[in-house]
Amino acid sequence: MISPFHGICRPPVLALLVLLGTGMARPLVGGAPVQWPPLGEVAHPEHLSGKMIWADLVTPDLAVAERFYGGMFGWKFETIQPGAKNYVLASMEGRQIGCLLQRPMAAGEQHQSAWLAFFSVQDVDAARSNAIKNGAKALWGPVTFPGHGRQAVLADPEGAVFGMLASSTGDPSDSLAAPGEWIWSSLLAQDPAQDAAFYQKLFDYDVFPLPSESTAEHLILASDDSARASVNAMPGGSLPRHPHWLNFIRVTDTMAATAKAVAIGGRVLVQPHVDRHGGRTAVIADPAGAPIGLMEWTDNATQVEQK
Amino acid sequence: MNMNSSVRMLRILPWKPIGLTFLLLAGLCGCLYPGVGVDGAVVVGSGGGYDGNYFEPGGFQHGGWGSDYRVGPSRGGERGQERAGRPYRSAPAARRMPSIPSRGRAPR
Repeated sequence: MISPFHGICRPPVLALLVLLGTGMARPLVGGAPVQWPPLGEVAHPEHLSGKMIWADLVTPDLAVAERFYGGMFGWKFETIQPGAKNYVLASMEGRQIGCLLQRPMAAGEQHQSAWLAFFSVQDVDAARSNAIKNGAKALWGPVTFPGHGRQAVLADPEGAVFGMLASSTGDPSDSLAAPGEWIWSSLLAQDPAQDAAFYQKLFDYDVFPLPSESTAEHLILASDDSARASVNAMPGGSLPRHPHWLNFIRVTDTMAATAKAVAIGGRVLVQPHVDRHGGRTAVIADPAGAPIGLMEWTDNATQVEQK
Repeated sequence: MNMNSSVRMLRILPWKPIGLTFLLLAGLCGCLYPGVGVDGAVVVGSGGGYDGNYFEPGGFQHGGWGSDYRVGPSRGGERGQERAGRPYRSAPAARRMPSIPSRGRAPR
């Protein structure tokens, strides 16, 4: 007897069913488009090459992450696509911080939740090609998200993962981060000089060596006459480490912020200590283990920019 | 319509042209709507190369630094000594090391 589904099992039909059941056809049934608020603050979009302008957190429990980051920094969360429950936009007084994305982590999986920082470029495709030519590994993209921009994710020659984003609405202006906003990025590298050279080729950074009492090299990467990040030789010792970017949120009191982090489910990875800018920094982990830096910054000379 | 006639109908349909047409349409749709929709948004920055996730590899240590390990910005202080044979291009010696942006934010 011939099965009534005999014809359906022919290869072209099977291929179509596979497409409908997997990613390729999903955009058609994915619901309303994502509503991205503008990232830039100015009427005339500008790109500040090498400035960290965006971050994504992939976490196994979105509700826990929202409670933690909302409690720590006062971030607000909103859904940017009607009906989507596994990611939210985080903002601080109307300014975008990044996205929190929920992805399950299977029991026993050897992975750790982490923040992924995106740096501004004008042309993602050109910057990506340049990065690959200089030893980076392409991990994802480039993909354009209407209303947000075009972005790609790469691993630098040492394996530290970073993103690049050409925002379609320009970048946030170069002003002092408010408490609760990203203020600084540090790359912990095996060979700071080589990694600085790589990022200089990518973002045209000015590289400044920092005074160091040891043989370990510490460098500052700057663009548009603003310091953007530090590149640091990884701390010594026998602990297993891998090169990575660590991003800092401005806080008004690092001691109080670390105490609060512990009280609401986080952990302290580096105790508060005075850093080279004169304020205290610390490193904490959120309840899922994602590391994040805390940094005090006092600047009495700050004047409100006159338009 | 009985079972046999259904089977006959399925068998006489031109499956190859139908299948190819659907494949073409599905391919076009994928090109026309890149990244829009639930899955498209989920992979925003999440590193699709990691099977749609960006989790760091486990088993590594973060933190645990001593208090003399510093990663913060300078306040625009003095530069360190230039080291010979570095692969990067140092900013001109006359350039003062910049600090982080310190302007106040313009009112919206």
